[in-house]
Amino acid sequence: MKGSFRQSMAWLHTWSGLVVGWLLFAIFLTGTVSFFRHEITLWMQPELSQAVVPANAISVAFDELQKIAPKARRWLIDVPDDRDPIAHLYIWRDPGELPDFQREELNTSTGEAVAARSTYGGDFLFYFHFDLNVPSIWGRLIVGAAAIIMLVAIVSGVITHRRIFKDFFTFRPWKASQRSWLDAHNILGVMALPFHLMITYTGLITLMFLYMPWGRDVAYDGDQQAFLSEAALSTVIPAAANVPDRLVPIEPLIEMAVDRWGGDAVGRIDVYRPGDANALIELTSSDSAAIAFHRRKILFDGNSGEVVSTTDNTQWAAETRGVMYGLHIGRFSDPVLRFLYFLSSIAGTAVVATGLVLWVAKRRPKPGASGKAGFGYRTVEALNVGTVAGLPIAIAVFFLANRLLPVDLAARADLEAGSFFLAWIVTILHPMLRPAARAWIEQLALAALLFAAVPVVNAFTTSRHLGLTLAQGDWVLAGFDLSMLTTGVILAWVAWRVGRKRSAAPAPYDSRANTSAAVQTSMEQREC
Amino acid sequence: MDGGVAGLRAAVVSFARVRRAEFQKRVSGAMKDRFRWIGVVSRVVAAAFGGYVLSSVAAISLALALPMARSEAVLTGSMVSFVVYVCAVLWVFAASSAWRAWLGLGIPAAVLWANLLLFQPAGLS
Repeated sequence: MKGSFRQSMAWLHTWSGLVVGWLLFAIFLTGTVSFFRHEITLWMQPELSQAVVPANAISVAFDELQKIAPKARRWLIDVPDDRDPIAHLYIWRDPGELPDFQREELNTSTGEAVAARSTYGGDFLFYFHFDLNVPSIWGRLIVGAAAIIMLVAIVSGVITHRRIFKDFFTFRPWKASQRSWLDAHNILGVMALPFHLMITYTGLITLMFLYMPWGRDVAYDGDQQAFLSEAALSTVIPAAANVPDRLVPIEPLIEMAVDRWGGDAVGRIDVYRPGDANALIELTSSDSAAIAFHRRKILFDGNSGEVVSTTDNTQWAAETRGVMYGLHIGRFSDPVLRFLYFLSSIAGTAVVATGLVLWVAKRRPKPGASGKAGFGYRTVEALNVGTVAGLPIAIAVFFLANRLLPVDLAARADLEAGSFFLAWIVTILHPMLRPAARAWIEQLALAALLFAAVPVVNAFTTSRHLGLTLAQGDWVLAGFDLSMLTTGVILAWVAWRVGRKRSAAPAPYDSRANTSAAVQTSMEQREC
Repeated sequence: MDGGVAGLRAAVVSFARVRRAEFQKRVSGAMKDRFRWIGVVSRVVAAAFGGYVLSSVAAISLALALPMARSEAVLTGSMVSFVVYVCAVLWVFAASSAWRAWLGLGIPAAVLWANLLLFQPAGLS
């Protein structure tokens, strides 16, 4: 199919990309940094940076739970590991007993609650990535709609790219290609195309029961729990026998599980009805051990320690869904693979950013044209600056707020989050008051300054500065500080390039017309 | 006129102009600009809501009809439905007219729905 089909796909790509471009940039950028959310949280709680996970971590957690909630509806232990050294404990009680939900963060090496500054840490950016900090399910719905439109944009972009197969296998960096935004957009899109398709589609899959519950609802007549049990996605909490009974020691169960899983660690422990005769203990293998998310579980009788059931992997669809979920969150990845995830995700973020800039560049009024650019054009340009340069500024402000706000301030977690949003609002308003080209340079330069300032402020406000962390081999904190510096340097270089380009002589007349009516034909003529 | 809106209008007009060439082989009479606006709005509605309806009906149909365990069929149908949604959106904007766009979604959805009503009565609430 040629000609008009490609033209309609080009139109669809341009406008679907524009409508959700800023939102997608925010989702992609915060998703990118979320691959390191535990590291970010550790940096934001430097008091914990040298916490170790002892061999008896799970026993310590169990003892704590026995102390706080000897009888409950459910316990959940998020087992600490090398990336997240804190044990996260969750307690659900029956209606009538308070508090009905309780959450504790336990430092298992001391057996005490975590004593570090209150912060949302990397979880703030992680949650923003899929719910935009919008209440209830609305944020997730908005992100889901953006994800479908992203898929449409990717596929229509591939269709529009006429020589994509030929270009796929051509790499001639020595050939002086036109350094245009379109080239950058295409290269970044094509080089990581499998990743972009995968991450977008699997993102939808992670929340598919929110977006597409109808198959389950009709097939199971609304009985969600029956579906979850059959698909081995969750266990039914047994009714209370109201007969008190002791839980078995957990250590032999863990040994059995680790042995069964070929040495892979336990990542999560659910105890249903602890202290009751109907108690059940469910062990789930660690997220870092296998791609498929939460697909290896063993259910034990809580009082006798006998195996009640194990999940098998003959359920192909459920296993596939688990793999898709695992691919999206990437927790199975080792540091090298995680870094590749990060690079590919940066490329995806840049695809969105270059697309937004390209939209503006193609519609720039010709030099010498009379009159000001229209309201729509100027709005897009302002939002471009405020999002592509402004969101990084907001992230840097978030990190700086963590170091600058008083440690014992009660509401500091919310204040850190508030400073993120305040900074972003300012960066969106700023380009509405400045000429666009100046606004770009100013914001990029400010972003560079703020990122470079993070390790400096760290040095002045904590004892875990870069010189010390490098010497001690504390790669979480040192790596974070170095990444901030690197980001600052890169942004400074970009700001410098933009500034230089602006002061250079105007380019010779470009036969690619700037009006949108000619975009379709020009994209046809241009070998894109 | 406002540059951004003019740009959007020009894009709409050029898009519809391409479609028009084929359409006018079969249909006589002039098409006014505002008729094209309606066409684009119609397609957006078709893509967003019609596409969702079609993919939902596909998810339900697959969940009930696939020859595998019930939970497996539900999972498969739901995962496939997102692909259906993307294809539906592409169809809507590739179709030569807004009418064809709606028909291309409506007819398969109606066929699947009728099949559900007639042959899977136990499944539908």
